Amino acid sequence: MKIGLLGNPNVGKSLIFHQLTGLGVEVSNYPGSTVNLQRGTTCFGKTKLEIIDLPGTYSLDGDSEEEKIVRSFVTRGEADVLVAILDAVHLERNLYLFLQAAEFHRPMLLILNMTDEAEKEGIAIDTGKLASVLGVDVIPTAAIQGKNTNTIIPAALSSARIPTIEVFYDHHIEAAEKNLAAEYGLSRPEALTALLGHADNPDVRETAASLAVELERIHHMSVSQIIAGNRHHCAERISSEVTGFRPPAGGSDIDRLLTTRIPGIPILIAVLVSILVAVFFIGTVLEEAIVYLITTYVLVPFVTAGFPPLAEQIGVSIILGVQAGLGIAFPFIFTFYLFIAILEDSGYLTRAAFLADRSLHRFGMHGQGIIPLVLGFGCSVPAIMSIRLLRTRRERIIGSFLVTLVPCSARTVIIAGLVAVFVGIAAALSIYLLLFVIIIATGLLLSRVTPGEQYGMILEMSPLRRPQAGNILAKSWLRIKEFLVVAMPLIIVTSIVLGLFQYSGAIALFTAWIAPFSEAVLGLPPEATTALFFGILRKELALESLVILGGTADIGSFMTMAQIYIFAVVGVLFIPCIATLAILRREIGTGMALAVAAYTLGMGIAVGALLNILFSL
Amino acid sequence: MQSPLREDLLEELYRLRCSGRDHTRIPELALLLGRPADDLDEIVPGLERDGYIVSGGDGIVLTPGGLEEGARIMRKHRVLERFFSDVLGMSPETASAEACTLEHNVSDAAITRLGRLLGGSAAGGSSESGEREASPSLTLMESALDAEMVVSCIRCQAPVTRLHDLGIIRGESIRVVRRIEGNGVVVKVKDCDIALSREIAASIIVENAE
Repeated sequence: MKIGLLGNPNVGKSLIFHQLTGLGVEVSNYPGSTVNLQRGTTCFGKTKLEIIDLPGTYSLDGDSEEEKIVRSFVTRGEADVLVAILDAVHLERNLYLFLQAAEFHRPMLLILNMTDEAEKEGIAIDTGKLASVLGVDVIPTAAIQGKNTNTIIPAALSSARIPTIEVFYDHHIEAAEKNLAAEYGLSRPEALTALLGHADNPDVRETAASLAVELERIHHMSVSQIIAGNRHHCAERISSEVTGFRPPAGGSDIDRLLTTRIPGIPILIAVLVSILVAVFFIGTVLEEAIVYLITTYVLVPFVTAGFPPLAEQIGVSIILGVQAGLGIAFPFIFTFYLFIAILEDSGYLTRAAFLADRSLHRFGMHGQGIIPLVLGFGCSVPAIMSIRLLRTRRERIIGSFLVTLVPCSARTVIIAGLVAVFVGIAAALSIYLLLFVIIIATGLLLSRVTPGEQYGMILEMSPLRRPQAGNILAKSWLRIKEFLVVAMPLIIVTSIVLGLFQYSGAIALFTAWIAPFSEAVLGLPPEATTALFFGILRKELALESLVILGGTADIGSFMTMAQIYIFAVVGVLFIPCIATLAILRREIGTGMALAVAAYTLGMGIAVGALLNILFSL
Repeated sequence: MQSPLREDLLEELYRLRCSGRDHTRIPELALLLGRPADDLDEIVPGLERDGYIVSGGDGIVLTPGGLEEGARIMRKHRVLERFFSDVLGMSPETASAEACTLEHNVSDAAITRLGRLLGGSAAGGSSESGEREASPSLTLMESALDAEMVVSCIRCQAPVTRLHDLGIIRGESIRVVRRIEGNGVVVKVKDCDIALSREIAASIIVENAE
């Protein structure tokens, strides 16, 4: 038995999902898309249940990937029961999606969540009346307090009903709908969807399009406008029927502070900087611990066990790969996810997007683009995953380029561990400055040359709420799992390949081959350039390889300060790591992923060569 | 008497001003208007002499007089556009293009009457006499903070269905609750706060409630 959870964003849907399923959740891609569906299984009595958390959407009509998926999920009847979760504080707006879903005549159950918040605001909703108007059972819940959520599954199993509510559309729309339905044997919602321009059958699409033109002519309004208007009116009528006293809503003072220029923007910068600093310090400590533990308890015993040389090399490569993956995943990425989940759940992220909207417009993106860019400081992989939030391909491409240039925590390790130590703090900071200049220049350039339209931001500001620890952990855990699944195999395979190169002596050959280029163009010793290539596995591995290839941790003894500086700049800029490339390929396609790799490689070499010329003047 | 290009320039500057840009350089204006920069160079001194604009190192700025003139031309454009789209049922793009050509040759008196006709039919037959039009159309960028407004028309084409889904449709009440100079706005619709980029806010036309 399958249960699908449906609802607007920010209605507590994922919290309810986690309460229903616990931690045994699988994340899978919906066939043919990059949108994640979270599936969880649970048992009730003897019934095995699969619960699917659909992406939060406002409507079933739109063109975004999420909306298409929810639409096809609902239209194909993939769930035995649809559980619609509505926000009691914003009942009217939430009913819009419910009314759309109700047209498909599937067994449904309505969860009226956030009743605690509604009570606090003095909103009283007559749930009995709501149930009789809509023709489905209504369960009032307060998921944050865990109130009533235990009754959801029994109710879904025993009393899900096909809603009886019907939206009355304008009579021209009704006529056109009946026409289409009769001619092609469509159901009412299918005919309406066809009028809105979404139909798989080309004949239906054509007929619907000609009817739509006629309707627009009569009404001087687009079909989507008329239909949306009718639905909103129906929602408004129902909401006012079942809602008693409704006090005027006022914005909170805190919200006013967060979304004005002063002190909103200083607060935004302070929040971001403190998160980056916190992640860096927590991450460094944890990473050292993980690397130490794996080295002491796995690597050293393995090496001393005395396997044949080839087996030993492969074994060491696998251990190093696991170490590389875990050493970056848990200390940096997971810590970062925790902070981001707090920002998300508290509703702050939408305010940050509003504040950043103007600045990001110059880069051809809009406010929501701040999310991948901020994530990029932690790790490029989750940052690129979050690029899906951006609506157009143009924005996704620009976002991908910029994110791969943002100094992630691994690159921070190179800058801090190499330049700050051997050259000086000012030099390390100058690399950040250089990166920001390159990011801004790239953004300005891309916003001019990338084809496609730029849409503005339309973003609901989620209410400010106190984040729930359980939900944050569950969310971060799911995301880190996704990272491990995608990145770990790649890191291990690359590690084995590099290990075999080293074993076969190919590394020495490569170093000899690259030497003329390395010395002439970058002014670096050939070992340093070889070390840079190890950075493709994991950025800070460039630094570790340099120590190994150079034969000493005192890098200052075999490289000049200028060389160290150039090494760091090139290492930070050129080619994103292998995990990033894999994610790029999945999110924006092979071609664009190669373009990003080529751009960063070219940029790294060009800047390195330029610095070499400047330093030798 | 204004030449069409002079009017177009003032209108464009006014539009940019509404979306938060004070200074604009000639090459960019030329690009926006689709005219060679030389044409603009010719008319800029005249406009400056008439006190509509001031041009400086950062580009061109509208004076208060220019702002008023820009608003007057913009209003002509909007009234004509509404007539074409709402009454004649043309698509928003065609309506806008037609309005662009006609706005230069129509008298203020005709626009006032047409505006009254459209305003009257939209607001349900308010018959206000005198020189003032029934209810002036503004974009969300121009609407006063915390004033109760009603959506009268949405001009942007791209993400329009998302606006509909969120309840931003013709006739819905809407209130600007937050605005940062040069940035977008936050509006309250159906008791929800929605952040809009300025170009989207500038394409949503509202009227005073009542």
